[in-house]
Amino acid sequence: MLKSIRAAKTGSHRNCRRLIVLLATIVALAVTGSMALGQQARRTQTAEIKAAELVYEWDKNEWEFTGDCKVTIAGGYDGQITAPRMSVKLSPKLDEIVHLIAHGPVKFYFLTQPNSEGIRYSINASAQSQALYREADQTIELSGGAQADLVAVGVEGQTARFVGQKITANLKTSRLTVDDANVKIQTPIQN
Amino acid sequence: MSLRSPWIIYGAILLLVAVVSVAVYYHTAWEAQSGPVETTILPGTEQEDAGSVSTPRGVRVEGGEVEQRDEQGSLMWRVRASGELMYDDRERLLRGTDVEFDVLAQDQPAVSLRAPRLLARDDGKRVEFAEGISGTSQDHNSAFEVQQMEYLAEIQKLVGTGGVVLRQGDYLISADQLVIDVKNRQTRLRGNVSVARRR
Repeated sequence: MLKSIRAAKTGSHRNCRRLIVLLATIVALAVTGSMALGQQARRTQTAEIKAAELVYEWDKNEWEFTGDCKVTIAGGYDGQITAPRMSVKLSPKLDEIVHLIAHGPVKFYFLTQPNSEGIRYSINASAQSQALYREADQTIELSGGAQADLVAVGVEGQTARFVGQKITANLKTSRLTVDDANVKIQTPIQN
Repeated sequence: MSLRSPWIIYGAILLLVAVVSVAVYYHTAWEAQSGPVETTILPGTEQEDAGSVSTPRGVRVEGGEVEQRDEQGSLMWRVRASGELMYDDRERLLRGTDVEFDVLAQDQPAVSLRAPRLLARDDGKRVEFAEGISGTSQDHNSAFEVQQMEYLAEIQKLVGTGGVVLRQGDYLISADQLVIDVKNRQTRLRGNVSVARRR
C-alpha cells in the first residue's frame, strides 16, 4: 500500500512538473510574440527628414529645417514632401512629431496601398502656401493653390486632376478630399 | 678702592653687552617674521590677470582642475583631467589628456563633454578638442559625438566637425557640422542634415 501511495505521489509530482514546464513555455512564447509584434508595429511607419540646415531652439522644442528640405514617409505606403523650409513641432519627450509644416511652394508625392482590386494610385500634388502633416492621424493638408494629379498605377486611362484651395490626403485610408468650390476634374477616372 | 672693583665694572659691561645683543637679536627676528617676504618671481608669472593660468614652467598635474573666469569673476568653463594637465610656459598653452570639460551658463553646466585631448591658449578664449569627443547638453535629452571640436569662449559657442551625430530623444541626427550656441540656447546643424527615428 505504501508503495502504491509513493508511486501515486511520484506520478502526480511528475505531472506537476510537466504542467509547470508547459505553462512556462506558453508564457515565454506569448511574451516573445508580443514583443515581436510590438516591434513590428513601431517599425510600420518611419519618417526621415533631410535638409541643408537644422536649427533646434532649446526652449521651444521645435526643429526648423532650411535648404532643399525633403520628408520621406514609409510604411505600407510611400510618401514624400519637398519644400524650401519646414517647421517641426516635437512632443515634450522628443519621441514623436506632433506636426510638420512645409512652407511653400510645396510638392507632395504619395503612392497608396493596394485597394481591394490590387490597384495602387500615385498622387502628385503641389501647393503654393503650405502642407501640414499630422503624424497622429497620418494626414497631409495642402493649402493655397493646391493641385493633385491622381494616376492608377499600371492601368491605362485612369487619371484625374483635382484643383482647389485645400486638398487633404489621408495616408492611412488612401482618401483624397478637396475642400473648395473651385473643384475641377479635368480627366475623370474611367472604370 | 678694593681690587674687586674693576671686575665688577667689567662684569657690568659684559652683562650690558649681552642684554643689548639679545635685544637686537629678538628685534631683528620679530621684524623678519612680520615684514614682507621677498620671493623670486618666476618667468611667466609676473602678472596674474583674469585669463591667465599662472603655473610655473612645465608643471604637470595629474587629475587636476582648471577654471576660467570672466572679468566679473563668473565661471565660464572648467576642465578636469583624469589623465594629465600640463602648462607649457614657452608656448603659453595648456594641454590636457582624458578631460571632462564643462561650459557654464549662470554658473551651471550647460554643456559637458569628454575628450582624449585638450589644447587651450593661456587667455582661455579658445579651447580645442581632438580625437573623438562625446558630450551632452542641457537641452532636453541631447547627446552628441564629433571628431573635432572647439569652444569659443567670447561668443559661448561650441563648433564640432567630423562624423557629427546628435541624439535627441528618439531621433538620430547626422550632419557635417554641429554648432551649440550656449548664449542663445540654440543647436544648429549644417551640411547633409539627416533626421531619422532611432527605433
